[in-house]
Order: sequence, then C-alpha cells, then structure tokens
Amino acid sequence: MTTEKHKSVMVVEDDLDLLDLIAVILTEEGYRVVPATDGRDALAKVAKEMPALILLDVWMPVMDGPEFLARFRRMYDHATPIVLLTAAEEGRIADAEIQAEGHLSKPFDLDELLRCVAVYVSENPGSGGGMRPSAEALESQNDEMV
Amino acid sequence: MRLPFSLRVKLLASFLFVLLPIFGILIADFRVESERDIEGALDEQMRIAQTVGAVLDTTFDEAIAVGTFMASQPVAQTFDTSQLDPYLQSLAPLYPQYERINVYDIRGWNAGTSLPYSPGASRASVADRPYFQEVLATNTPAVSEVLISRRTFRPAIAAAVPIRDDKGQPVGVVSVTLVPDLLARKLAGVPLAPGQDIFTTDHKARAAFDTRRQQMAFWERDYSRFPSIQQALSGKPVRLRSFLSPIGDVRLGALATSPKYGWVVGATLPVEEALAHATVALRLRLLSYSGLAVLALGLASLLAWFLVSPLKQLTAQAIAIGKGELSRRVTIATGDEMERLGTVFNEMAARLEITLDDLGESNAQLKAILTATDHAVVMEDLDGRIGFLNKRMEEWFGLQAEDVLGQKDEVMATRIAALTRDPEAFLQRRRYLSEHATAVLEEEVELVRPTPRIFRLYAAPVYSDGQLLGRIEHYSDITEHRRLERLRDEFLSMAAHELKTPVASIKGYTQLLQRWAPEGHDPREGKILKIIDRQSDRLSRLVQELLEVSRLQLGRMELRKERIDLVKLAKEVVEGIAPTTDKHHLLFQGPASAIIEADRNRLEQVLINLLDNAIRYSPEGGDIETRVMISEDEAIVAVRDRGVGIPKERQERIFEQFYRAHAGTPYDFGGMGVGLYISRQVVERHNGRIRFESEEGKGSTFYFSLPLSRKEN
Repeated sequence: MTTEKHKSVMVVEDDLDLLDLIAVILTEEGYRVVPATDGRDALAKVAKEMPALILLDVWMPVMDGPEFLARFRRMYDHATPIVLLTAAEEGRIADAEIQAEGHLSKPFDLDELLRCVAVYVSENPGSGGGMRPSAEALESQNDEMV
Repeated sequence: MRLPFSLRVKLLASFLFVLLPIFGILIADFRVESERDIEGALDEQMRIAQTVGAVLDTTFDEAIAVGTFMASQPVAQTFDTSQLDPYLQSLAPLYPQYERINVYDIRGWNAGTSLPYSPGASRASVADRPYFQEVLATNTPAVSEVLISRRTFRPAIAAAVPIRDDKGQPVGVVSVTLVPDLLARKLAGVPLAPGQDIFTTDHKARAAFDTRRQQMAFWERDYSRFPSIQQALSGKPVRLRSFLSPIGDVRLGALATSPKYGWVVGATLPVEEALAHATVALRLRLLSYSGLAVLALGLASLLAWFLVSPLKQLTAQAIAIGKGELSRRVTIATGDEMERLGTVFNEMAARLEITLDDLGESNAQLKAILTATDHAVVMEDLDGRIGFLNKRMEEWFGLQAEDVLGQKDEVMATRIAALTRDPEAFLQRRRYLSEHATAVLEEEVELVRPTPRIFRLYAAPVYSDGQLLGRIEHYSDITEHRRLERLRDEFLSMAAHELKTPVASIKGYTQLLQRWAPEGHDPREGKILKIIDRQSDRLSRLVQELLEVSRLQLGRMELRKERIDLVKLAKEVVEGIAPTTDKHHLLFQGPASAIIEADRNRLEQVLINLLDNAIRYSPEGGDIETRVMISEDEAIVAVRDRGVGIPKERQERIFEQFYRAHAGTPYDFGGMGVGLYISRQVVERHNGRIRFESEEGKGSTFYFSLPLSRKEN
C-alpha cells in the first residue's frame, strides 16, 4: 500500500468546506491531493498532471461533473478512474455514470471514502504521471485556451 | 326477392296468376265431363252389343225352328232328291231371309236343296264340316261357325237340325244357311251413330259381320288375335276405354256374348265421337276464359297506369332531391292514397330541407370548434383516407389540407415521419394502427424539425351508434409540459445535492474530529460527535426520502435493470450495516446465488430500509436475520427482528406514504414515514410483492419476492 500512497488524487468539488475535508483526510493518508473547484479548473489541471484518480462532484458552477466527464473522456483515454460524488441524483447522473468507474453517495463515511480511493488507486497502478493527450484532445484544449 | 321487372309487368303477371286456377278448374271440369261421356258411351255400346246379341240369338232360333220343321216332315227322311228338291224349292220363297235350305243324309251327301239345281249335277258333301258332325253326334240342333260356302264361295252361317228316324236316332241333317247380310238387314232399321261400328264373331272368334267392313277376306275374319275377343268368348263382358282399331282410329267399345249361342257382339265408337259433346263445351269455356283473361289484363294495365304515373312523378322528385333540389314538390291529385303519399312526400322534403340546413349549420359549428382548438385533430375513414384535419394539424406538421384530404393516411404519415426523431419507429406504429382498426394508441411523438417539439398522440376508433366510422388522431403539444418536468427534475436533483453537500461536510468533519481524538478531550465530546454523526445521517435520509417521494409522485422512478445476484447483494448490505450497531447480531443465510434482473441501487435501498427498520425497532438488541430463499420462479428475501413489533390496528396502513406506525409511541424514532412506501413501490416496479408478519412485542418479519431471471445462467 505504501507505494500507492503519494499518488495524486484530484478532487473536483465546488463546496470548499467539503473540498478541504477530503483534502485533509486524503493528505493524512498520504495521498497527494490536487484540488479543483469546477470542471474547467479540473480540465486545466489534468492537462498539466494526470492524477491516479479523480473524485468528481456532479453539480458545479462553470462546468458541471457530467460535462467534465464527457470532455475528459473525449480528450484522454479511459485509463484514469473517475468516482462521482453524488447525492443520488440518478436522473442527472444516469448518462455520466456509465463513463465513471463508480460513485460515492453523499454524505459518506470517511472510512468508506478511504476504502474507495484505495481500491481505485491500486487498480490504476500505471498512472500518476501525465498521459499523452491525443491530437484531437490537444486541439480541443487549444479551443479551451482561446 | 327483388324482381327486375316494372310495376306494370308485375301487376299483369299477378292478374294472370289469379286467372290460372280458373284455367285449372276448366281443365279439371273437362276431364270429369269427358270421363262421364266415355262411361256413358261405353254403357251405350254395351247396351247395343247386348241387344244385337239378343237379336242374334233370335235369328239363330228362327233358323233352327225352320230346320226343325223341315226335319219333322216325312219327306225329309226319304233323302230322295227328286222329292226333296221340288219340296224345298217350293218353300224357298217363304223364307227369303235364308239363302238356302239343304238336306243331307247321314254320310253328308246333299239329298235336297232349295236352290235351283240342274238335275244330274254332282252333289256336294258336308261330312267334313264340324257342325255336321256335331249335330249327328249330339243329336241336337247347332249353329255353324262362319263358313265359306262351297257353292257361292261366300261366308255363310248354317243352322243345322238332326233328322231323326222313328227311334229318334239321327239319320240326316237339315241345314238352313243364313243370308250373309241377314244381320245387316236386321240392323238396317237401327240408326247408327256417326262412326258407330257393330260386329259379331262366331264362338271361334271368326268375324261373321262388321258394319264397317262388309267385304273382308277370309283370313281377315280371324279375330282370335285380340285378347279382348278371347276374354269376351270366355263369357265376361268387356269394356274398352280406348284402343287402336285395325283400321287405325282410336275407339272405345264394349263386347258382349249372345246368351244362347255364345257369339261375340262388339259395338265400338271413335273416342272423338264420344267426347264430341265435352270438347264442344270445353271450347266454349276456353273461349270465355280467354275473354276474361283479356279483360283482366286490360284492367291490370289500367290499374298499373293509375299506380305508375304518380310513382314516376315521385321517383323523379326523389332523384331531384337527391341532387340537392330540395325545393321541388310533387303534384298528385288522384284523390286516393297516392295523393296522400305525395303530400307526405312533400312534407318530408320540406322537413329534410330544414334539417339539412340545421345540419350544415351544426357541421360548420363543429368544424369551427375543431379548428379553434389548440390540438391537432385528424379524422380517417375506414379505408384509412383522411376525411378531416384541422388548422393546427396543418400548422404543426407543415401540411396543406388539399394535399392530404381524401388521400391515404400513409401520405400524411410519411410527411410527419420525416419530421420526427425516429421516422422508422413512427411509421411502424402507423402500420400497426392501419392493421388494427379498433386499436387505441397513446404515445409521444418527438419532432426535430422545424423546431424540436414533443407531442402526445392519442389515436382511437370512432363509433357512431355502435358502428365503426374510422379513427380520430389527436396531437397535443406537450413540449412545455415536458420542459417543466425536466426543470422540476433538475430542481429536485439540485435541491438534493445542495442539501446533502453541507450534510456531507458536517458528517465528514465530525468523523474527522472523531478520528483525531477518538475519546475526545472530554468524555462528553465523544458522545456529542456521535449524535452529530447520527443526526446528519438522519438529515441525509430525510432529504433522500423527500427526493424519492417527489420522484414517485411524478411517476419518474427510473429503473436501470441489470443481472445481479440477490444473495451477493443482500450479503453485502448486511455486512455493510453490521458494523454500525453493537447491540444487534446481523445474521445472513441464503443459497449459492439467486440471479434476478433488477436495479441494484434500488434494491440496496429496499434492503437497507428493511434492515434499518429492524435495527431501529429492536431497541433492546438481538438477532436480526436476513434470509434469501428460492421458490420456483422467484427469490424471496425475509428480514426478521425480535423487536417491538407493529400494533395490529396499525398494520394495515404501514405501506402508505407518510404513515408512521410508531408515531407518538416510545419507539418514535422520527423519519418521514416513506421508507416502506418507497420499498413497496420499488419491489412492485420489479414485478415483485412485499408483505410482513408482525406481533406486537415479539418482532416483525418483512418479506419481499422478485421474479428470477429467465435467462440461462
């Protein structure tokens, strides 16, 4: 397990208190946390560094979870697992969840959160560094920057 | 039956038909009468035959009497020609009715004759004649059969009498030969009916005489070939209703035998003659019948004309009305029922005119209503042709009434299909509709062109007085309705999210504090943190329930079914909950697997709900057993607790929403009272059933069953 620690976990959550909480507990457990407050922020950050796992909120301003998920999957390979932080808004996440590896219902136990993160991070041992985006991805990334 | 003939022909035919029985009666009458005439004629013929028979007997008797007289003369016994010839010749003028009188000796030789005879000429013998032998043998007089005279070579009949000696023994014969036309002469005075024929034959059926055939060859005289003659000879009188005579006409007649000598007498008459009277009568009657028929037909024609001419007028009028000339009226002034019919017809036409005006008005009104309505309406007849479509139909689907009216509905359907998201599916359902005239269809049609819209289509058969007229299709625009629904969904999702996120923070931070200082700085702190944790869970559940109930009420609980192992799922849920309680023992029991098709999250929710209840209402702790069982084609899950149970009077209502069985009791643990309501909805949406057994103070067992997956594992 120790090797899995220090791996980066991106947390995309607009509620800063919750973001802080997840960051604190994951940092305590030895993960490196990359925080993002919305989908656009997250997209910008994954471009620089691809995390081992993304914890993704659904409802967010600027760019919400499902939209981020769609863009992310279009731009990168399926390698990085994504876990949705939901409030069981099933109608909303129905489409998005197909592309996500799992979901965690709010509110969650901290133990539950840690178990979940540990499972997905260990299942994705190859990542941790950045991944080469596809040409198409670069193009749309350029669009984003314009 | 409908006869393709005019009224006139039918009337004439019926008159003729009525006259037919009269014709039948005439014919029957004729038959009866002719029968009577024939019987009368036969009686008459029989009478004639019998009379002639009697005459015949008398004639023969006279001849025999003359013979007897001769035989008794002494000169007869001399057999001396020189004495007998003059004697007989002297007597001849006294008996002009006899051709001759001869005397024969016992050997048959002529011993004397009444005919002039040249002396010395050889005498003939009659020894071979049967009658001669008969007379000698019987010693009694006899009448001969019809002979051919050996002297005259003409037919002749002889009456022979024996000449007896002193001892009475026959020694010779006196023969009296009858003149052949003796009978003709005797009958000369009798007036014969036209065609009347009288004939006689001897006892050997040899014709002696026939009024119609005076000259017959010898061989023609043999009548023995006729069965009726044979019958008469046997002594029975014969009546012949109809026979073909040897000379070729159809006759009737009677045959009788003369009582004494057994000769046959026949009297015949042409049938035509016998029926002459009846035929004349029939002709007269037929003539009057024909007159009657002609009269009747004339009357029928007249009647037909009276009937037909007003009818023709009515027909012309009806045709005119059919063409829309409603103001036309008939004028029939026959003063009878026809005139009444005309009047009624005129009244009907007038009323029709008014009714049609009204109908036109209400039709226009209906069309105006249908046009003004904010729905698209189209009506198809039984052949699937468009009979009506309103303004909205044209607007919404870009149709022109004149393009589709009277056309098959495929024309319209193809145009609408081109605008939909899934044209093939739309057309497929149309095909179903056209194959099932009485089908009722309710569905959503999503248009992508010209602007995205959603319509609700309702198609149903239209009946009038129980008779199928066609189909109405009715589109209502539910785009806005759908948009509002989506907004509401989104709002609910967002509300849940916005409510749960702070709860998640509260719960998370509480747990963080617990992690950092498990015992707390103060013993009371640990307890407080637990309370905060528990209450945030409760708050979260309330939010979740609120969301669920809202969704259920909107009818928008979506199931994402997949193949899952119920045993595995239940076990996981039990294992997940077990650590949350210290007081209870959560036990699990089940088979290796039970594969069902279900929404994993929903079922999890049901299990959690049942287990939560079990824990909550077993405040004293104890075993909580979860069992999965398989029964035929379903899987059954039972969750049993040893808790407080549900009071009997509250059991009925526990699946109702917002019903809280323990409200106001020491076991009121809060909640919205929707857990079991949601569980039941979820189970039923999976085609399953949920029930429970409970006894107050002893605990409850909840069961739910779900159909097993039919797919082979």
